[in-house]
Amino acid sequence: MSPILTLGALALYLLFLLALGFYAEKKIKSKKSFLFGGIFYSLSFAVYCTTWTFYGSIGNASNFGMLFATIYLGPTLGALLWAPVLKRIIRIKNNYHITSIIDFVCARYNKSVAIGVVLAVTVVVGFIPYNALQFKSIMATTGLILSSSPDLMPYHNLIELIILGMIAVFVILFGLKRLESTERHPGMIAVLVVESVTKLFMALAGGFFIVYVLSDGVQHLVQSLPQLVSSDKYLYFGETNFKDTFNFISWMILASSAVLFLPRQFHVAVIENSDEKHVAKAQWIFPLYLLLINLFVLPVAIYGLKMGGTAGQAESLLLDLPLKHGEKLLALGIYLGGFSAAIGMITVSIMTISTMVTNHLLLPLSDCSTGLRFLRGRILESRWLVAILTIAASYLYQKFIGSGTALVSMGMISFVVAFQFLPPILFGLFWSKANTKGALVGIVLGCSLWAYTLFVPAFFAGANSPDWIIQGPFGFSLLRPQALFGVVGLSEIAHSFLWTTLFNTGGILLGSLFFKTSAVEKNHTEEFLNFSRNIPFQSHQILGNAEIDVEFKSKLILQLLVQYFDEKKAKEFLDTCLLESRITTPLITIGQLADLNFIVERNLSGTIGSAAAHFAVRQAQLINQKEEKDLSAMYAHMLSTLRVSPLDFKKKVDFQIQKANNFKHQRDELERLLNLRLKEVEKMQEQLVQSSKMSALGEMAGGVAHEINSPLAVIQMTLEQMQIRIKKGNMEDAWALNATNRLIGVTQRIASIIKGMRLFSRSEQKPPFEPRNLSEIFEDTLAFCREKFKHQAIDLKVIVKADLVVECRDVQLSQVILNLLNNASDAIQGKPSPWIEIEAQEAGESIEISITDCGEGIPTEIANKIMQPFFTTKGVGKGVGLGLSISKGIVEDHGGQIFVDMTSKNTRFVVQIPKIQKKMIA
Amino acid sequence: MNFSEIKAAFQRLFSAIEFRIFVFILFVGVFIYPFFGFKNLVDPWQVYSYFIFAWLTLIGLLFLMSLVDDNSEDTGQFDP
Repeated sequence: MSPILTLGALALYLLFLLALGFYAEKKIKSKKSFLFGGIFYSLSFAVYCTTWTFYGSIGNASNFGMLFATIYLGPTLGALLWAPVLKRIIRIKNNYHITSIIDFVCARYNKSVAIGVVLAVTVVVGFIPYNALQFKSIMATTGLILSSSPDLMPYHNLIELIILGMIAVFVILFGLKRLESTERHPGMIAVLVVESVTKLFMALAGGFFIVYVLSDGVQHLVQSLPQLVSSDKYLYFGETNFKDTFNFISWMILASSAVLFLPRQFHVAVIENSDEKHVAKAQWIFPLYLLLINLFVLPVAIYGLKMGGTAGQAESLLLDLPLKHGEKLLALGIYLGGFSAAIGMITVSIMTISTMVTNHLLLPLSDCSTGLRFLRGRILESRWLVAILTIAASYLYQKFIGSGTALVSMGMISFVVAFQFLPPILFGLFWSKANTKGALVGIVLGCSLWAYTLFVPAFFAGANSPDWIIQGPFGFSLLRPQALFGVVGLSEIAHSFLWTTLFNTGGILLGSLFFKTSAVEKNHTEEFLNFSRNIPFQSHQILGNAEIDVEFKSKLILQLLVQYFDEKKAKEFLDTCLLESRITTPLITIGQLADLNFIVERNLSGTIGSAAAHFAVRQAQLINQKEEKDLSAMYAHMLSTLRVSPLDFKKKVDFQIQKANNFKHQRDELERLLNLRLKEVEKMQEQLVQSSKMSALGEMAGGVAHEINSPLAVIQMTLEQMQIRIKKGNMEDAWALNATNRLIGVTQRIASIIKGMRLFSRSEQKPPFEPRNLSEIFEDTLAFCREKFKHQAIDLKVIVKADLVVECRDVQLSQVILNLLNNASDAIQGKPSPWIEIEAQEAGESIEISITDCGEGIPTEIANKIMQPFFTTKGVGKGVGLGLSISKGIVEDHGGQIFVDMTSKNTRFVVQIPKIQKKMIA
Repeated sequence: MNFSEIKAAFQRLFSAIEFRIFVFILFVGVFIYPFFGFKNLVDPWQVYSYFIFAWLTLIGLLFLMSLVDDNSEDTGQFDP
């Protein structure tokens, strides 16, 4: 493969990523963008899969068999606990404007600067080797490509420098462009997602080529394993013993914590999260990604062993084999996949390291030394400088120190560092008694033991180890770094995991029980845990009289802010804080001041971290000593008025919160049941309406039959006459034409009756409202009852203008009219000269339809009940008493009303419905 | 018992941290079982298939959990 072509392809790929990043930064502003959706969120987790996965896993599998999979099984198992843990962390991030994992730990432990400093130092020391691992991989694979072209070898260093420069540009452009670290970075996420897809695709393509093109498939390779390796390199070592099992479990647990607590993972999982609902999607998409990217790792490693390669050579198998077999395009793709894996990790890692170092090392230093105060106004530039220095340090580390160390040990060393975050975070989230001093003891012990048992010995790996490492300091064999307290036989990683876990966890637990928690810290912890349980910020607005000058306090805030931002940005920042505190008056209460203090500190945390922000706001004395005393006195007064101790008060508040939550759950459950019942009732109502309709139709059946019978008689008679004329041979054209016209007319009449019946009986529940001519509706309805009325000698009068239009559901309106006509005809049976009048007229914005019969009205006591369901005055078997109540429901659905006109001397029902229906607003 | 009631029951089960910890421990056991169950390994393919199947099962379970994820307010108290 031509190196020029490879480098050209690399340059094109980088330019594409740059363009994509720029596009995403510029165009994607909305939080609802697909880029902030669940699938992209899940794919951004794949920054976990670095070159250590892409190339290193094969070497790891070649060395340790199935042990390699623990790095990916761990996160899959860990995903089980994401819902209760990660969601809480995300809620706290949103409330405190957390910028990094160290910031999160500081925020929990009373904004402790000391904890921030210890963790920042450990992270820098622990993660430079991990970044170096990525550089090593990039440089090694680039070297492999260049080795085929001796002409380019002199430019090797220059090419490496160009790649380094590109990485620095990526970090600064997409990760460190804004001062506000807690904001999401659409450009970086877009690039990460593309890189994740590229590396997955190329890992699968490369694996498929080796397993299915060069070999006979997975099964064949796996089954050939016993002939290749000794029993201790079997899939599961072949020997059952506690130490191997412990190694396996410890690697899994380390990986399950690393997927959230490596600083870069915390960044993509927490800081870049736009909606906690996405966690549910990521909890299965990301494990599936891990399974897929590792699908061919073990078979490829076995293939490497089969070919007689060593574990070290196995790391480059994925690239080496396609190259050797002349698959240049595939090799190019794999090179770009590996490059993607490295650059994705480096970008996020360097970005988070530079933010943590600036916020938790440089800014606290600037608080201690007046000579370094200038750093406060140069935060962004400081981050850029730290990023460039970290890149340079990582590069130099791999060049001069790490070149002899296997990739795998470098990665696992960093995993053990990440694990030191786990105890303080879990205790912090789930144990309210965990305090700052306890956490500091645990973290210091854990980090120190990590350095002692793992990091320092790793420096001397492969070289002549000093005596104190082999024999223990001052000859104390119990203090040997790699066999501490006489524990031997475990791998270095499992050994360090054991002791750091015990000391870190034990330190926090015992330290928190031993050291007393201050009242201030207790309050802070309570607030922190409330946020984790989704209990919103408790405003203090109502406390005190409005006597504090907002203008004066605003000046104090501005004086603080201009140390970090330019004047314009500082003023905008202040306005935002005032707006969020809902301060609109020139004088505020002490409670409002407390809210403002909290919001300024929280918003400033988004830029400089919670510990530095807390320190800065305290220094600014936004709440002076007198106001602090006033606030305390006010709380004390409240408690004494309520006659409770602070502890009892807290218990009562907790009880009320719990009660409120219980009520909420019960309300939700009741709502759910109510909705279920409502749906059932609606369904029953619909069935009832339909059966009532059919019942009304049934009552008219006799009339309808007669209505059809008359035209049938006409048809029969006409046909008989035609038959006679045909037989006689005197069928005249004019007569025949006249007869057929008559036949067509009567058959149309029958068809219209049947059509009306079909329409009337259809069970469409809520058709749309449509403009309909009222006289047509009357005609359709009367078609069912004309004959019945004729039979009963009822004189029917219809008064309606031909052009009267109403927006309605025609079948339903027809049902109402039919019900009223039925009732009228039943009521006037046996009366002399019975008559019914149906009339429609305009009444302003409504249409009024009245149905009057010759009855003498309805008595008041019956009129009040007439619209109730199951109320009937008809005899047994003649009606169920639903007609009017259903009619009332239909008319009300139309936004109208139905009533008995008590002023009329005859029985008169009135239906009023609006001419035009109001439009429903969605 | 209708679908929504079954869903609500699974929602309660899957959102219980105790259940999730139980599944975590269970699958740690599943993955280290070959240390004990396949001591005299004769067929590596059997072990490999077991392993991949267990991994897929776990992912399937995570998928099911995500389907009924309720995002309700998590008010669990675990303070000793």
